[in-house]
Amino acid sequence: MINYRLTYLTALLIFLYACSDHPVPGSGKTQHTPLLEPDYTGVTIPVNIAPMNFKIQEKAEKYFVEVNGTDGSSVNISSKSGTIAFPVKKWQRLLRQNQNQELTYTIYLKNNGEWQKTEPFTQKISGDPVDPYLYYRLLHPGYISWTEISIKQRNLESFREKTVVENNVLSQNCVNCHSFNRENPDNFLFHVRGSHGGTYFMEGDQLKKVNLKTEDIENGATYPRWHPSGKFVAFSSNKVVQQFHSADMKKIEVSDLNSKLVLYDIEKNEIFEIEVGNHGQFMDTYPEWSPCGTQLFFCRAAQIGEVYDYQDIRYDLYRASFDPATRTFGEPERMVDAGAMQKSISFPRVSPDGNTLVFTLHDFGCFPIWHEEADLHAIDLQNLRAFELPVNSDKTESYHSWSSNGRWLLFSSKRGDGLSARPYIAWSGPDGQTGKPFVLPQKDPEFYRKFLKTYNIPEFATTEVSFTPSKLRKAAESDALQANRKSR
Amino acid sequence: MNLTNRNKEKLNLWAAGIVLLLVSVLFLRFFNGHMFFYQEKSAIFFLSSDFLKEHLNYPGRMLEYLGKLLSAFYHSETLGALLMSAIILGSVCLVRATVFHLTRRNGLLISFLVGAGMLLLQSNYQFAAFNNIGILLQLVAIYISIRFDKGIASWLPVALFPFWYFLTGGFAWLFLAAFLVFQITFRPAKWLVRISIISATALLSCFISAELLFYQTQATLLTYPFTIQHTGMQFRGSGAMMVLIMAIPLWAKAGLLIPENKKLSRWATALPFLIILATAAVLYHKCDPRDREYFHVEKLFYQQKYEEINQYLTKHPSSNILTLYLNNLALAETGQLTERMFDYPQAPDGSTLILKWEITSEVLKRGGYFYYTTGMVNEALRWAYEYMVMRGHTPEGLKMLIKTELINSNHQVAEKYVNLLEQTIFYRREARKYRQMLYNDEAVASDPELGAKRKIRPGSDFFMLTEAPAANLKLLVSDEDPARVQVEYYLALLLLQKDAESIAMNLPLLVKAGYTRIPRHIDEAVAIYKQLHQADVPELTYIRGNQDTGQRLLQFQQGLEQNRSNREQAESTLYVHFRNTFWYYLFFR
Repeated sequence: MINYRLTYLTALLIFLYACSDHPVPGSGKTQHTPLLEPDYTGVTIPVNIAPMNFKIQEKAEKYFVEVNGTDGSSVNISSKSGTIAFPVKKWQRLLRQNQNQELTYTIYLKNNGEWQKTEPFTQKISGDPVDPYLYYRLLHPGYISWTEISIKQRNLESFREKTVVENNVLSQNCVNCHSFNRENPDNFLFHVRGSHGGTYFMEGDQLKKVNLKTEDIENGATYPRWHPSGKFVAFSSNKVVQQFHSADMKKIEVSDLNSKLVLYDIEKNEIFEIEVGNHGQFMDTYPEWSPCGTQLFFCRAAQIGEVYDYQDIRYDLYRASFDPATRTFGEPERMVDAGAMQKSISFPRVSPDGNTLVFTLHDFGCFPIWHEEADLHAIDLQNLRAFELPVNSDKTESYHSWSSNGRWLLFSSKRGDGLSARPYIAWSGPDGQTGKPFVLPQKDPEFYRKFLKTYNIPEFATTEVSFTPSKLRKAAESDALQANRKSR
Repeated sequence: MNLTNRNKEKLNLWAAGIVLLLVSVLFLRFFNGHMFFYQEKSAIFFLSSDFLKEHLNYPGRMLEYLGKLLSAFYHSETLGALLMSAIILGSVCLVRATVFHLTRRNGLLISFLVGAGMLLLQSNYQFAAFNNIGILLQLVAIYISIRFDKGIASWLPVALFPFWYFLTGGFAWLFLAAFLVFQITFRPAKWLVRISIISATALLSCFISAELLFYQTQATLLTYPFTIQHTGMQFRGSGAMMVLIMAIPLWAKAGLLIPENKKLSRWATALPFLIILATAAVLYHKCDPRDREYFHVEKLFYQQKYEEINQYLTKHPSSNILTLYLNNLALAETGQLTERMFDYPQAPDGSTLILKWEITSEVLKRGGYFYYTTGMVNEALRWAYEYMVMRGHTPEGLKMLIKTELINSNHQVAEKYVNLLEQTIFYRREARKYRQMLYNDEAVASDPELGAKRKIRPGSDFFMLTEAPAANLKLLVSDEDPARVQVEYYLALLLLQKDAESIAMNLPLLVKAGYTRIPRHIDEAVAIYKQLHQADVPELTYIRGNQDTGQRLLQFQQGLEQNRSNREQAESTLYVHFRNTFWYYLFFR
C-alpha cells in the first residue's frame, strides 16, 4: 500500500515539475523576436477583441510566453508546439485592466535544455471598443461556379461564428452583397440570384423579398448602400462581363459594360435612376452616402464603346448633393481625377464622423479584388488631400468598412497567399493616424494557412442578426414584392 | 430443432456465406473493378479533425464521411472488393440473426435475398459506397432494437433516434420503418406508447432541423445522403431493397420468405445457393465491357501511360467520345496526334479533341486536361478549380490544382493543396514529391512534367474563349515560338474540320515547332488539297513528307473512281487500306 502511495506521489511530483517547467531569471538572451503567425507584433488592438492566439514560427523544444500589462498584471502561457492560446477570461481581464496602455510579450525558447529569452514586443490596447460583430460572405475565391455560399456572423469578443444566411436552403442560388445601414443590423439586406431571386430586406424580425428589376432598370440592383435615414438604398445597376486570362497570373478580369446608379425608396417601394448628369456617356458605380445623408459619393468612368481595351477603363471619384425630401440630386462634382494618374477608384467609404473617405486605388477597372496592385488610400474631406494608408501590402487590399465609432478600419487583404482574402483590422486615430493592421484572430492560429475559402464583404455590426433557416426558407418561397417605377 | 438439424443449418449458412463472399469478391474485383476506380477518383478522404467536423454539419453527413473513408480504400481494387463483400455478408448475417431472433427459424432465404440485392445494386459503378454502409448500419440498429426489446433497453431506440437520424440521415427512416413494423406486428409491452413517442420524436427532429438548426432544404434534410443519382438511377432496385428490409418483421410474422425449419427439404437448403447462382447470372449479364474499357483508359491516362492507351484502344476499339478524347490527348503528349489520329474514330464536331465547357457534368472533370496538355495552364487550373467548387476535392483534381499552381509559381496556394494531399491515405508519396518543389522554382523547372508545361505556357496574354475553345489554339500558335504539342493540336483540329486549305497554309508552323518531317495526316491533307485545287502551298525547306503519299493518294482516287456510282461500296472497298487516312475521313465521315 505504502509502495503504491510512494509511486503515486513520485508521479505527481514529476508531473507537477514538468508542468512548472518555465524559464528562470538569468536565462540567456537573443536579440531577435521570433516570427509569429499571424504577426501580432506592434499592433493596436481594441479592448474587447478575442484572444490574439498565435504560433511561434521558430523551432524549439518548449516555448514560454510572458505577457505583462503596464498595470503589473500578467498572463503566462507555456507550450510544446509553439501554439500560444490564451484562456478567454484571463485574456479579457488582462485587456480590461490595461486599456489605453500596453502589453509586453516576452517569448522564451528552450533548446538543448536551456531557456533563451527573445527580444520582447508590445501591443497597444485601445480603450475604443470595436463593434462586437463581424459579417462576411464565405465562398471559394474561384471563377464562375459556386455551390455553398454563406453569410456568417463572427463574434469579435470570442471565437463564435454563426451562419446567418446559407444558400443551401435557397437551392444553392447565389447570395451576395449583404449590407447594413451603418453597422446597424435592423437595416439589413442581401441579394439572392436565380430561382429564389430578389433583394431580401430585414423588416422588423421578418424578411421581405423585393424584385428591384423594372423595365427601366434591366440590369437590376447590384452594389447597395443604405441612406443613413434607413428610408432609401442607393444601388449601382451594372452589366458585367467576366473574362479569364490565359497567361497573366490574375485569375479573372471583371469589367462593367455599362452601369448607372438607382435609388430605392423603401417606404414607397419605388426604384428610379439617380439623375447625376449621366445620359449614357458615363458608367457610374459604387454609391456611398455621407453620414448626414446629404451627399452621395460614387465612382464614374467614361462609357465604353463596342470596341474597348479593358485596361483603359478608369474610374474617378465624384460626389453630388442629395435632398431626401424631394429625392433629388445636385450637379456632380469630381473629387479625385484618378484617370489622370492612370489609376482607378473603387469602394468609397466615409468614416462615421464624415471627415475621411477611404477608397481602393488600382490600375484600371472597377473590380480590384483580383488586382495585386490594389491599395487603400484615403481623402481628407475637409481639405480634399488624398494620401495612402500605411496598411497596404504587395498583394490586394480591397473591400473595407468602418466601425460605428470610426476608430477601427476593417478591410480585406490577400497578403497571405494572394488568392484568399482575409479580414484585417487597423486602428484609426482621431488625428488621421492608422495603426498596423492585424488579421481577425482565430482560436487556431494556423487557421488561415489551412482555410481555402475567401472572406468577402467584411462589415462590422453592433448587434446580432437573428435569422432561422425557416424564416429564410419562407421568404425565399414567397412571391417577391415588385418595386414600382417612380411616380410622377 | 434437434442438434443435427441445427448443425446442418449452420453448415448450410456457412457454406452459402462463403460462396456469396467468393462470388462477391470475384465479381467486384475482376468484372466490376472499374467501380472502385470510379468511386475512388470521385471523392477524397482526409485524415484530419477539420474534415470530420465538416461532416457534422447536418443530418446524414457522417454517413457520407464513412462512405468517403471506405472509398479511399478502393485505391486497391482487391481491398475494395473484400471490404464491400464483407459489408454485404455482414448484412446477410444481421438479417439472418434478426429473423432467427424473431422466429427461431433460419431465415436464409430473406437473408440471401438482401445480400443478393446489395450486390446487384453495387454492380452499378455509380452506386455510392455510403448506400451499403447505410443499409448495414440500419440492419445493426434493427437487430439491436429487436434483440433488446424488453425493459429499459427497449426505450433506447426511442431516446436515441434523433442522434441516429443526425448520423445516418435519410437512411434512419429505414430503421424507423422497420422498428414501427416490428412494434405493430409483434406488439411487445407498451408498443403503442413506444411507437407514439418515436414517431413524435422523429417528427420533432425533422421540424427542429428544418425550422431552427440547418440551412438545408426540407427535402435534403429528409433524405440526405440518399439521392437517386447516387444509386446510379436504380430507383426500383433501391426501393425494392428498402421495402424488403423495412418489412423484415412482417415477413417473419407472416412466415413469408422464411420457410419453417421442419419443412426444410433439400431444395430449401439449396435456396441460398440458387439465389447466389441467379445473382451471378444477372451480374454477368449486367456487366458492360464498355464501362470497364473506358475506366481502364482513364486509369492509364492518370498514370500517364500514354503508349499503353493507344495500344489498348487498338486492341479494344471504342466509339466512346471520352475514351477517344483521352486517347487523342495521349497521342498529343507523345507527339503522334497528326500521325496516328485516324487510326481511331474521330468526331467531326471536334468533341474527340476538345470537350466543350459544361459546368454540371462529368465533362468538367476531364475537359481541363486538353488545356493542360497544350500548355494553357491557367485554363487547366480554372477547370480543376471549378470542378473542386462544384463537386468537392478529388485525388486527381487536387493534383491538378497543385501542379498548375506550382507551374505558375503560386507556392503559397500550392502549399495549401499539398497539405491536403498529405492528409490522404494513399497519396502521401505524391504529396511529398510536390512538397519538395514548394518555394523551389528550379525544382519545378527541372521536373520532366511540370518543367515541360511551364515552358509551353502562352507567351502573351489573351482572354480565353470558353465558348470557342478552338480559337484559343489559333491564338496560341500565333506566338513567336509555338510548342509542338500546340501545333499538333491545332492542325488536328483543322483535320477534323476538313479544312485542308488552312492546313496547307499553316505548314510553316511545322518548321517553327521544330518538326523534322511532315506528319502523315498533314501530308495527306496537303496532298489532296494540292490535287483538288491545283493550288500552291508554302514551300518548306527543311522538312518533307512521305515519298509514297502521292502514290497512295492516286490509289485512293482510283478506288473512288471505280465505285463512283455506289458510295457505300466505295466506303467498304477503301476501308481495307485507307480507313486510317485523312482522305477516308474526308470523304466518308
